[in-house]
Amino acid sequence: MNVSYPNGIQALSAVNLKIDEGGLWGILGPNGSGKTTLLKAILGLLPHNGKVLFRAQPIKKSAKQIAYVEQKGDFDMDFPITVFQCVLTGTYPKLGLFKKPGSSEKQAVLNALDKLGLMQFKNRQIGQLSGGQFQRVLIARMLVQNADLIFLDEPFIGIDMESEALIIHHLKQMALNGHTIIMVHHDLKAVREYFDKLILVNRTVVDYGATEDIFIGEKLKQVFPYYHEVVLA
Amino acid sequence: MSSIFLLTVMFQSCQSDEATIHTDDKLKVLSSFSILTEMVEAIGGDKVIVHNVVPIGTDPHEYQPRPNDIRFASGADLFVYNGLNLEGGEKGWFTKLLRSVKADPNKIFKIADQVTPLYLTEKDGSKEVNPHAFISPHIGIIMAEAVRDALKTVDPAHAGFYEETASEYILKLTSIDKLYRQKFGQIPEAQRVFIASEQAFQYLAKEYGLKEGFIWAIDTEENGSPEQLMHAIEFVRTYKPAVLFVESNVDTRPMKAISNETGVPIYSPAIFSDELGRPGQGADTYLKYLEYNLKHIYHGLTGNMEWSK
Amino acid sequence: MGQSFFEFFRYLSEYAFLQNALSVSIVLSVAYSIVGCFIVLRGLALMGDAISHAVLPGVAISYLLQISYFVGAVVFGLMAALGIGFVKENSKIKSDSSIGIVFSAFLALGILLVTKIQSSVNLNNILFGNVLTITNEDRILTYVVSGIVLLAVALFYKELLLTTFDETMAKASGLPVKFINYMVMIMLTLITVVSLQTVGVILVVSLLITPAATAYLLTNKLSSMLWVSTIIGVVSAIIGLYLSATYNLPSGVVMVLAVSCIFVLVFLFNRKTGLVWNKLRLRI
Repeated sequence: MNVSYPNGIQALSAVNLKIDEGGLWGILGPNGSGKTTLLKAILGLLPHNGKVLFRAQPIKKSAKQIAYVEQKGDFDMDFPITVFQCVLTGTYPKLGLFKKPGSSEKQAVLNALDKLGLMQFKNRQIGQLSGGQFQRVLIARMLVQNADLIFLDEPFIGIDMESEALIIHHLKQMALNGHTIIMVHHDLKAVREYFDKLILVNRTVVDYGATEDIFIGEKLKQVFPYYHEVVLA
Repeated sequence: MSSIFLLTVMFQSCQSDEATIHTDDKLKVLSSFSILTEMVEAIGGDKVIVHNVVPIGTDPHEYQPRPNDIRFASGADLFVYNGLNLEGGEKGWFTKLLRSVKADPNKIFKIADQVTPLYLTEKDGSKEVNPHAFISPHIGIIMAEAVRDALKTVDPAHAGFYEETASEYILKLTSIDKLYRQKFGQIPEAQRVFIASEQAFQYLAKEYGLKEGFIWAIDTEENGSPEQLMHAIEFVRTYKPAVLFVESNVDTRPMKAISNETGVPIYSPAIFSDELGRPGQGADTYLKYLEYNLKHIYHGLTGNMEWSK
Repeated sequence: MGQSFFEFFRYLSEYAFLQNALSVSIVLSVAYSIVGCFIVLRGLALMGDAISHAVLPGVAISYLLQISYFVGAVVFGLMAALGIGFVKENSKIKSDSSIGIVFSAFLALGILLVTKIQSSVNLNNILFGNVLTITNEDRILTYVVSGIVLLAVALFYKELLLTTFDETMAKASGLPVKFINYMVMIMLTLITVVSLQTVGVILVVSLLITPAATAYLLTNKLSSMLWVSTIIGVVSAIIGLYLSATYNLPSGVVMVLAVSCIFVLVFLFNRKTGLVWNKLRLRI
């Protein structure tokens, strides 16, 4: 499979990407460079004038195979929903209309909660959780969705180290199992540890490919003119 | 009140630009509502031009005058209104209208002035005048005389004419009054039970011996409150009228609720209280209106459509 | 008070119109309490208010054409809802302004039509509602519409939940977000129009929002919120009718006051966010 995306939009221009299946991709770029915009455009959540193909088909057709974990700051934490139910909503796309989640769906939710160390919170309303805990809830939901193509937007902002470690562990696991994971990363720490492949964005796609090829001085300079040397040191 | 809320945007006061609008020397009469208007036209004949303020289909108790009304009023020679609080009384809209055009008090006539008022049944003991005297033909006679006198006062040149038309008119009213007495007299007392939505028929009921029931005392108060409905249902259960009557200008749903509850049917067609009928309905003059009501009330109560004259 | 409660039951058994009023009020309160939860969670309260006022020209035109008020009201309510959406989508005007613009225009048109028709009598009663004198046809209409709305909520429950909670994920994963949004608008319009019978144009938005908002303060789960909202809605409808029949007060108005009082009590005394409770807690 690949995601190929030929053209441009206002915040981004001349985007041309070809992404192969399986692998953990990181999107890097300074603030305002269009990273989230790129994700949303690919998903069809923002208008653009190009084509996005997934397995040679327009991406909209495969919506059920796609998971999108948006920034946790975008959520209404007062919403009357418990951790368990939030994760359960991950089963909805594959269930389709009119079917109710059954015992196998509920078991999948419990497994995911267990993996992310959330069992003791399962009946808590989401507003009662810390940032890290809620991010884990969103990851658990993503696990339950079991999508082939997964997008995440800055999941590591404002969370504790333990949560981060647990999450990246599961993401890597999924990448090994053949899922394609594309994640916007908010800074330059731990890049080599986390990602096999990178996309550098600065209002356009500067370059993309294997981490060892991309995460080098001359490429980073184009995107982070002031920081690249500090990081590589 | 709801009708005020809906109509507030409509009224804009405007002063007329010309003093009077002379149209071949006829007497210009401003009349508050349809029944009075027709009476003035009948007695005034071709000597008058009458402008009717409250159109048919609208409540005369509360009304917002329109620019046309103000314009006519500024040049009118005679102002007639019912009184007995029909047009809102001292603080009502008609008084305000007269004030706003600085009408000459000598030209203003309260036509029901000589009528002995009856009072509405108010639960808190307060006495409110019942404006609907005109529903009864015996009052119609008094009012016709008042109209004649008003016309004679303001237009003495044609006094003789008004005398003549008025006495013909009053003759007709007298025979209608006799007919009312006769027909209602023929109905056995137990069947002389009359209920309509509003207590408008009080004068008629009292004069001709009907037992009167109603849902609300007057249109301006709440129409269809729980107490009113229960009270009316009790009336129907106790006095067992043959039919229920509805008026042409009311919300029929409260009476329908009563009908559902008691099983007594609603008589069709509607009878007229605050207004004449529209052209073609058979009650577009005051005389026809009186006859129409009599015919239908009699029919409803006895099942009899004809009368032996 | 106890004595008048017995009176109320006596009235109920004696008068069919009260029984009808009670059953309509209860069925309707279930419907608007449930729809209201989604209105509150989606931030559509203002929209609900706008629709209730925007139906006026529809009612006037129905009267002119001698057709049921329901048809005209629903058509105009939907036009208003769509018009508001259209203005919002196609300009930089924000939600509250686009709502204000569209519904005042509709309301003005309605007032103009009403005054031209000159028969304020009949229209007043359609707009200001009186559940005690509801006709049999309107009663059945209310049952049917409420039933349809409740069925829709049951069938599309999980889609409603997810699109309300996380529209982005729903869209990205292929849920029929647009369809659900339109469905919510239609449900809102239908319930608003049918609720005109009980409380009329001006107050209907209170019934849509207050039970749901009160439940929001009290619950952690959507399913609980729906139940609590319904209970509050039904209880206030019954209290409203009781007070109305016993003390001869207008029924719709009393229902609104009843539910508002419940809201105030919950607001002050609820464990999580109640002002009074928090103040007490600080003292201890």
